[in-house]
Amino acid sequence: MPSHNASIQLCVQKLRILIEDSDQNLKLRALDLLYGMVSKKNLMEIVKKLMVHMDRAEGSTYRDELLSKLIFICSQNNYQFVTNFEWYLSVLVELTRIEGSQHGPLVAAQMMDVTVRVVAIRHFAVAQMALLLDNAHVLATAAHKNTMLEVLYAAAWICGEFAEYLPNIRSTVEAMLRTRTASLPPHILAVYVQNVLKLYAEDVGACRAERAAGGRGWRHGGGQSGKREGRGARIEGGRVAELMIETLPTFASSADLEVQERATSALQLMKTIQKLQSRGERLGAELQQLFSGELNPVAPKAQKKVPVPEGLNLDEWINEPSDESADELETADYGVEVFVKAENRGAGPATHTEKRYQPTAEELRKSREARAHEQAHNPHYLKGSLQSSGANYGGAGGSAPAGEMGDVPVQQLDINVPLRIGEGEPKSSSDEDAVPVVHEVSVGGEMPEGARSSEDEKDTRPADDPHRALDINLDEPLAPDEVLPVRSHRQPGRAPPPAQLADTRPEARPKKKKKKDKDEKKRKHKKDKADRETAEGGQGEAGTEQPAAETAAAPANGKNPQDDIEFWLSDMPASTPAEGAADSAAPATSNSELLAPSDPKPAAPAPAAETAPTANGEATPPETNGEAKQKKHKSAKKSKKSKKEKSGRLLGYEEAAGISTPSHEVLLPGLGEDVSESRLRPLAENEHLKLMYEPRAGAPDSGEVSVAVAVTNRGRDDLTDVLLELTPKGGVTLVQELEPLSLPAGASEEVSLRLRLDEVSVPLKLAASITSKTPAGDSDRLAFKLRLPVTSLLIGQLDDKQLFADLLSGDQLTARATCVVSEVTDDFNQVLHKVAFWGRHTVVEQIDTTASLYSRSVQGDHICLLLKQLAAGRLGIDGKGTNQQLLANVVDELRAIVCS
Amino acid sequence: MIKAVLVFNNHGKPRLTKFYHYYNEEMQQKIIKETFQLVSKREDNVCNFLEGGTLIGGSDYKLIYRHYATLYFVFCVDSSESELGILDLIQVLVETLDKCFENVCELDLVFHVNKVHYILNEIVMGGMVLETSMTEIITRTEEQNRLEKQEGGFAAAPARAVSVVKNINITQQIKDIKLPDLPAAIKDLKF
Repeated sequence: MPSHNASIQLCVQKLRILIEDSDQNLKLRALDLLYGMVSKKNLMEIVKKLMVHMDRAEGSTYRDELLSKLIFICSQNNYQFVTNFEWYLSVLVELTRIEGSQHGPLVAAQMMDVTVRVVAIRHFAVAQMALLLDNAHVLATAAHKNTMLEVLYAAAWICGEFAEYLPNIRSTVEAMLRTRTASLPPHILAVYVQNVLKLYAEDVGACRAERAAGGRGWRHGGGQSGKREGRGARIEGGRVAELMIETLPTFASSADLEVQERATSALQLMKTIQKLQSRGERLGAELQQLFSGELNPVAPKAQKKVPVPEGLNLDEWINEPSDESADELETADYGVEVFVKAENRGAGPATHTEKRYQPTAEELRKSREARAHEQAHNPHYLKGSLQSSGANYGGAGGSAPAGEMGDVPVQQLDINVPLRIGEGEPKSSSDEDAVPVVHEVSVGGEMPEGARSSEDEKDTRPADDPHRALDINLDEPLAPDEVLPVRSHRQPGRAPPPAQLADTRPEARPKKKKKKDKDEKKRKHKKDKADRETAEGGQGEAGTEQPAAETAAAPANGKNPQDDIEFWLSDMPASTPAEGAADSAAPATSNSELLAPSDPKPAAPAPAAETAPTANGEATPPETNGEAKQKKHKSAKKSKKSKKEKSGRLLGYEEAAGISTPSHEVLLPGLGEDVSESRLRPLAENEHLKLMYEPRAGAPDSGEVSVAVAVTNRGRDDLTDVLLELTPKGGVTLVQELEPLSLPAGASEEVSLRLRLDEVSVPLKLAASITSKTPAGDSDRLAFKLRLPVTSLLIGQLDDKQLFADLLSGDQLTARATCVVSEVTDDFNQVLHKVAFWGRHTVVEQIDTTASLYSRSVQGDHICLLLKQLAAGRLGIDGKGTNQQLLANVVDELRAIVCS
Repeated sequence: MIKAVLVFNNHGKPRLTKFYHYYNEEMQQKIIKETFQLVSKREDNVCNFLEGGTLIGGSDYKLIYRHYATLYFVFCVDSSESELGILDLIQVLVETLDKCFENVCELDLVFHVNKVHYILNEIVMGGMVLETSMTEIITRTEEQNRLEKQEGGFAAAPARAVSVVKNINITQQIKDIKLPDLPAAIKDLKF
């Protein structure tokens, strides 16, 4: 037979590499395979590698798995591959060092099993176990859930049972009695007590034997040293007994009943023995009688093999069944036929048992056919080849048409090697012969007297019992006529290949360009954009007959230093201050700022350079001013950043996972640089006055909004009695009456219009006018329209992110609105910023080019948005809200904002 | 049987959880946490099947997962499920999501929780795989969407009408009304 040593060697090497692999699954699978690859030759090497690996392994679960696999590998098939049991035992002893293992009982069982089965190892084993007992404290001090203490159970038992091999009985007894009783589990203590007695008996017996031999002989298996020890034991014969009487009471006070009982009876026994010994009686033989008798493992089939004693017939009735009970059975069903057939009812109780199963030959044949048919069509039924089916079913399937079974494409496998790895008969493999077998393993177990050996045991099951088919001896090589079914490939073209699932992962996001480039670009881009936007807005909103040049100049004039302060103070998307709070704080500071330095820049018409085509002229702010501004931005940015960091640290995980994703961080510099973005928008102007306004939402659920109107006197005359008037309109109430104010030349003042709105879900247009008087007495009136878009009255603030998740998973948000904006040229972050800033939303989360936003109206309606960049420059806006009208208008306005 | 379907992002934030076996809230959180710890440690080039979860079913418990850009899709199953079958199912689920939400992203899972659950319910019910054909799943989801739209349409109609009326610029509309040029019409009149 050709050997496959080389290939197996290769496999083992490969598996070893896999075990080193980082993937835990691979490790476990490799271990499973390794189990089958073991031979006598490579076992020691493999185990050595596994031991090394186990030391390095992390995670107690995996280490446990390794340990149990190692033991299974060694112990498989009655220690078939273990040639040197001394080595195996020392491996087991070494395994006790592993901390926190759950497999202590397994190791203990192995120790006992090996010692019992391998007679030649007992001497070595007992010595090792005595060592273990001596060092019990090492095991006892280990981790709390350590089950390795169990080996002490095995050690104590082995030392007691095979005490004749023990080199130094006295020291072992001392070691066992020395234990702190509290530190060991009770079942181990019980074994200790029992085995201390055994050891004592052995000790006394040995003394007697030695005395009888007159120092001539040496103890069985003991050797020279054993003899010397034996003599020592005799000299100090009473010492062991004294020690036992001294320490057994502590065992007797154990909480466990078993330990108590054993210790108490042992103590009494010892006292009796001492009494007898003091009278000069020799008790050695009697004592040894107490524990005599050899212990052997019980064979697996022993129970079944107990011979039935003569004259015992288990099938006979002991008492004849009474007729009444049978009648009761029959009549109990009150004529209702549940399981009994009609013809059976008339039959007497005697025939009842016989008639229970009586199909005719025809019926039998039919049912067999039906079953064979069913099996042939059952996809879950493993169909064997023709021969095996015939053999396995004992002719049961024989009547089935042969073609049905043969439909399964089976290819003959021409193979002359039995397809298994472990070898049943060691003699047949050449390489295994080379390894000398050091020890014999007693494979069988104890059998009851008169039991037959298992070889000649016949299967008593009926020939057609389906369980017979399961009883296949897997260790036997295949017979020459047996073939293994081999799966052949499907015929091409018979069935279409399963639809190939293309790996359509979400396409890789476009890589971010270099940050620097991007920022620069963005800065430029955004500035242009903002300018254009305000210019356009101004033109549209003023809606009057002002020349375009003047309108375009408006944003330039708006670039007062107050703007950036305003910007930082006003509510930012995803930043903290509440809109309501900003409402009161911002105007105050901006007012003072306004009054102090204000150097109104005259609208200097400049040639339209690179700016928007609509703007015919633009005021270029003085260079110094710009620089100062930038410095301010920087410091502002810094403080902002540190604030952000702090809050990030405070909020911990929540913040880390959500808001401050790396892509979100990019947003901040963009914001910092683009300070020209104030929410103040031009409202109206004439030669005397210029009005800017900013609608702000009031307190949540109040239904109130306020419109901050910045009035600037741009003329040369001081103006008095400047009064803003609102044309009354249904559904809009002015909460606070306005008072006339006077404006010196060049000064500006902010007027706050507090309004209560009945309806905030539709955009409003309010007619208003402002009147003023010049010192000359001319009165001037400027009429304008105050537009209040829906988005301008939203509160973009979310205190608790849980609310957002709750809203989305709840059923509150019944309103839906969706729109797709095409040809969005802006970077997603810019778009998001626009939406959040102008659309008054807070960014709940941003992930790459998707963001979810939230806001609520002053009337308490929720709006949740999902902004998503789609392919080909499109942008999807998905909205959910509690108010359909509001949501529809918000989405419409956002679309306009995105497009602007 | 599929015990649970978990979707969480790279930070361990759950985006979709569905348990087909009852666990209380606390246990569910523990399971998610443990699963994330197991899965997130693994590099992308290692096996997609994983054993070692301790909270569900003990040794009869496998994790089959796939890692997409920012999301982990994890199916917690017992030994009766085929690993490769489930792996394929994850792909079906993700592709279906991608078809239903253009360019699917993890926020879609949060924003359209209901729809994601509809889709998942089409695929898995009570821990058993119901449907693996993507076209079939998409057809059913579209039917559902249509129904929803119909209902939503009725409910939202009045509000929409009001908004349209309020937005209308009636004076402009009247100005814009084009009447036939009467004199010209008269001229063309032939007797």
